[in-house]
Amino acid sequence: MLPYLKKAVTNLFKKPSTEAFPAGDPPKAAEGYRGRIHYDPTKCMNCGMCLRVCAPQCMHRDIEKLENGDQKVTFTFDMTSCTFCAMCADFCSSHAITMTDDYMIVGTKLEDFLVTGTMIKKAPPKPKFTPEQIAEMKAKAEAAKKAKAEAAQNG
Amino acid sequence: MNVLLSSLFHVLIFPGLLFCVVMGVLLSGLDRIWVARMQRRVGPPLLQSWYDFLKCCGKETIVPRHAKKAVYFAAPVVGFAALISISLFLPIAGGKPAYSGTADLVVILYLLTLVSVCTIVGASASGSPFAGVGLSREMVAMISYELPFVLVILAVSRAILAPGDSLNNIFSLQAIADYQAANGPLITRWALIPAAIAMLFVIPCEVGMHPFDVAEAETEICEGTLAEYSGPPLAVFRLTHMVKMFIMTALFCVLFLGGITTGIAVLDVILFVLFCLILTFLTMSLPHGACARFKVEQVFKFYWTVVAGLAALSLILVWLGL
Amino acid sequence: MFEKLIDNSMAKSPWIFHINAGSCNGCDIELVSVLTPRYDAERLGFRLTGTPRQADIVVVSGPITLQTRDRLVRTLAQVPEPRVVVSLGSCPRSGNVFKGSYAIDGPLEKYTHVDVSVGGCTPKPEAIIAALAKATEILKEKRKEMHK
Repeated sequence: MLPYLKKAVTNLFKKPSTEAFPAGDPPKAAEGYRGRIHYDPTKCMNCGMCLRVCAPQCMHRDIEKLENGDQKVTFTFDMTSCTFCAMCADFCSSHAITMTDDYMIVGTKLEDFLVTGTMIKKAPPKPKFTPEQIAEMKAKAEAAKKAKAEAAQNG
Repeated sequence: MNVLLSSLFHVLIFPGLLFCVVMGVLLSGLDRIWVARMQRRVGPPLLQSWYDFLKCCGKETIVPRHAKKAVYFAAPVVGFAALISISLFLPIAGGKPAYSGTADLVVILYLLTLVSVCTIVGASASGSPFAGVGLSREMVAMISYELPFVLVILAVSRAILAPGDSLNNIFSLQAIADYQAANGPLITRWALIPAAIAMLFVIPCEVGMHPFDVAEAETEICEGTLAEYSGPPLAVFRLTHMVKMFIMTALFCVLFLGGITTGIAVLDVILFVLFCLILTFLTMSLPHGACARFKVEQVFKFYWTVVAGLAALSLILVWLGL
Repeated sequence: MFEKLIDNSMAKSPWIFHINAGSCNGCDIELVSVLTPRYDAERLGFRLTGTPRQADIVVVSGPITLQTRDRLVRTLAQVPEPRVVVSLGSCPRSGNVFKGSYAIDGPLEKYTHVDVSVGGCTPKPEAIIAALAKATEILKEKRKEMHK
């Protein structure tokens, strides 16, 4: 007990080792800290890999079809469901998902915890000719070739 | 009329309710800050205990289904009243006590026991198994500190008794104060030093401070005796706990540090408060900062061997006339 | 005036009671670390009580397992008004990785109104302190509404 007593008395004259946090800015998180997810919709290509690897199924994808054939894709990440394993960030081949060091995930309602991003996925460009046209053209070319060959044989 | 007014003044203001509460809040606030500093923390504000008290007043009171309602509510109030009435017998700061009698030291002993008994009665009336465990522990703690406490009081009372003195003055705090005013504080008599040390050990256990708070172990038995209390009754219990810190340190000052006066009443009171602060630091903050909570049987063993031994040694020395 | 004094003290001495509803112990340890010298929540008046009767802020951690569900409901009923419920970590609000398990019966919103939530698995102590500070503000508001 005596060493503890000595320690207690010496501590009495030392400065407290408490952080000043609630007054002032929150301290920075350690390097490599996995905090709130950041989603960059401009990089995303809607491969859906993140949805497959997410263990707690914290993300949700809404696909809305637009009139011109494009797709409006909305990703929603629920931070009260996430385990911050960073699997989605690892598997994202286009680096659209990254983990920030923001750990202040505090709120009173659900909207405070959602990270969302919307992107338009362009429909693939329309081919110039339809398959029928191509077949017709092919047949035409074939016929022309045949005619040419026949002409050469006869001539 | 004058008697009534002065009684009211004594009971409500000095040295009664107001003075006791102010001192209790001051001592417990400083104790919490000191403990925090020993653990290298900043610690709560000085008035934290007062905020706790006010907050408890503003909470809803839930009476458990199995509780005996009348006893459940009466116990904290009776305990607090008993504690405040102790202060009326103490000759604070070399002055005269508000009331004095032949054997007021015995009355104080009984009133102090009554405070603990009220905790026990309140706990048993709340009908909770956790409170049951807590009250059995409180009883063991009471048994452990009462023996050395009584031995200390015997030693002090014997020490001031001159040969051929009448037995009228025995167990009288006024007589002890007068003796000390004439012959200097009792702590300077080396035969009484073991008794003073024993008394220093009795204080934290009597108050229920950290290493000896076996009855209110919040981590083991859910606050023990207070497990079912909420709202204003809890607030009164917390206040009782705070004021008890002051009463016990004041009792030590009266028993061992009397007779140190400057002649000016205000300075005397400040000196008295200073002694209380030092005693709070020595007996409550230091053990709290330095050691973890004892087990019940450890407390019992420690008090009946070491502390009671010290007190008995002092009693024997005094009896031999040293 | 007395009511106002009590209102102010309500924000200055919130006592915490912690319910573990099947947590993995990660959040529990982080909550206890809030009271350590480095974060020292006691300077804001926080105190960890051992009984729900004395609590102002109830902190729930863990997905609500079937075994803890009934105890959770009973314990929440024992907390006197005004009280604030804080959900700690991802589990109580959604079930986290245990989502869809036969053994859990969450989320916490099914049993009580959750005032403040902290996300994270586990949250950092700073985030917990921020959430508790927010909870004290709500506590004061609730107390004001009580005597209106």
